[in-house]
Amino acid sequence: MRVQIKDVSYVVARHSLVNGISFDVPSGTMTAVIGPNGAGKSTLLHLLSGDIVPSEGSIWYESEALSTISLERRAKLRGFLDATREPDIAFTVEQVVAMGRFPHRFDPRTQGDTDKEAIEDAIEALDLSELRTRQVRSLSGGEQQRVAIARVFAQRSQLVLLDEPTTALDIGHQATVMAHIEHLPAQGRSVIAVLHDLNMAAYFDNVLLLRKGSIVASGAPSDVLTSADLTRAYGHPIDVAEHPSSGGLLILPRRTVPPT
Amino acid sequence: MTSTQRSRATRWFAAGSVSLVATFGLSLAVGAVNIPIAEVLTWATGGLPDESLSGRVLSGVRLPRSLAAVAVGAMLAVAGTSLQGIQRTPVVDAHLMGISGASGLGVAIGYAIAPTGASSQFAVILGALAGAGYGLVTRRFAAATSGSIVGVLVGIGAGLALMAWTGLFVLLVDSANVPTLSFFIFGSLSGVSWPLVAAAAPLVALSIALLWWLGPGLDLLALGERASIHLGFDTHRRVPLALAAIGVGVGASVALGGVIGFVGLIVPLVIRPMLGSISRITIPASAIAGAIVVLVFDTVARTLAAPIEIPIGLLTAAIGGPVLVWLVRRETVR
Repeated sequence: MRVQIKDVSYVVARHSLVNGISFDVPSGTMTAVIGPNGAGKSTLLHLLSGDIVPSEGSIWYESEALSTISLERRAKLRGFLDATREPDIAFTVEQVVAMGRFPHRFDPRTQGDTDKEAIEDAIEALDLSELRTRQVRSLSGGEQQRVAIARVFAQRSQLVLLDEPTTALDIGHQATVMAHIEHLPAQGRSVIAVLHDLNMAAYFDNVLLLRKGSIVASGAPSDVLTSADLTRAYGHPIDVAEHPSSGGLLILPRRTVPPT
Repeated sequence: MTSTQRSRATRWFAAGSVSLVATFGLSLAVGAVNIPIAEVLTWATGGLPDESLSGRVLSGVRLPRSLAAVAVGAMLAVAGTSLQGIQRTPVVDAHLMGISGASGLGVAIGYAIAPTGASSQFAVILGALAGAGYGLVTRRFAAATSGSIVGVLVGIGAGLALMAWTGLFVLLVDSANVPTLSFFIFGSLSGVSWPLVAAAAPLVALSIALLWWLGPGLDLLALGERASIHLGFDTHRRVPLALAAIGVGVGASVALGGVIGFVGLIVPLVIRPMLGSISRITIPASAIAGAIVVLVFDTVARTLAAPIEIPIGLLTAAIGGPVLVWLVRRETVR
């Protein structure tokens, strides 16, 4: 699904959190949103989800203005992995993943074939088979995060919004989750993800570097993920090198010695 | 749901249904006058003339009362299950939220202002309106205290105040049409009549049906309100609808049996470990279990000290009170 953001601003208490942003997410592409704390990354994601309404400008899903799409239909079009999640869930892993099918009028007792397939695929993708009958509240933070991602995957929406999808995950699961996210565009689905790990951003088609609610740089990873731009945006020296095995980008903050 | 979970649920519903029918039959047979089960069965199949003593007791007194017990038990348990989902804590039911108290005031006013011959209908309708109104008023507050037991404290406070106002109203109005104060504090099914059952049962059925329909959406609330909205569940409209449905059903049940506590607290506590938390399962299961519980308690209430009737709420509170203490301890001391 193609998503367009046209001159969007979002103002709270006369403070502009998002400042006249425009960009285009073509169907079946992955866009990473990066930037320092307070850059407006999560706010942008909530605007794209329809949780909050732009003070100015408009957001389009294909040829429909997001503001005209009902809450029920939005749930069919876009999935959202929120950064804040409820830990005390007295449902099993399988039941929570199945909740991702709710927008498709899913009844937990009678699962259609598509529902079953979507649920099973998501459970397998997030490596949750062994945990499926466990109550979610009994899981670790990283495991709970995988359940939340599986629920969003099971929703099978055309647009997938992810707020820091890999933050709580161990390095092995980071890699597998990333591989499954990379697989989504092949199904015509678009991904927009807020990332803190800049090395993950290198896998995306497009990168949006935000600072103070505005776009500092945007384009292909090799154009945006430069030492100069990142250093300016994050206010700390950041080195970009060639990855020794993949030949991709390797991004590391430069170690600074604390003043004695 | 896995196949083992499904077969466990199937077995549970089979056993539950059989128990409900057996308890219902027993509640018809046992009382101030014991009627042999064989005679109850003859009556049930139309073989006993309505003019006979047993026939008159069964048709005129015990059948409406047992049906009322089923409606009250099912409603209180379903209300408890749904409220616990909405509030995301096991320490809540319609009584602790103050919904029963509000309904009690509505029922008392309904009886007081009813024209001759329409007291049942007035009691049920005002009870339902008061319950629904209270449910809607608590919505904002309920959302703010979701996930904690602080809401229960406020609910208990509001419930006690409403009960006191009901008591003052009952004493000051001093009308023969209004039930006794005990009815509004500890409940009783002794005043049940056919017109009352006919007026209340449809509202109870409607309420349970609505909550069943809303069930899958209410389950999403466990993920948090925003995640529920992301999944297309309009919490701003659906949660008030659920609270209003609970108020209507509880109001009708209070008109039938007065204010009976703890049924909605205890039944889900027993159901969840066996059947999980999915509403489409817990709601019908709670309805069956709640009906059995109130049938049993009502039968005990009218036979234990016969001919004196023990208010049913005394019995449910005698057991439910300690359970509440244990539950709060479990939820707060981890």
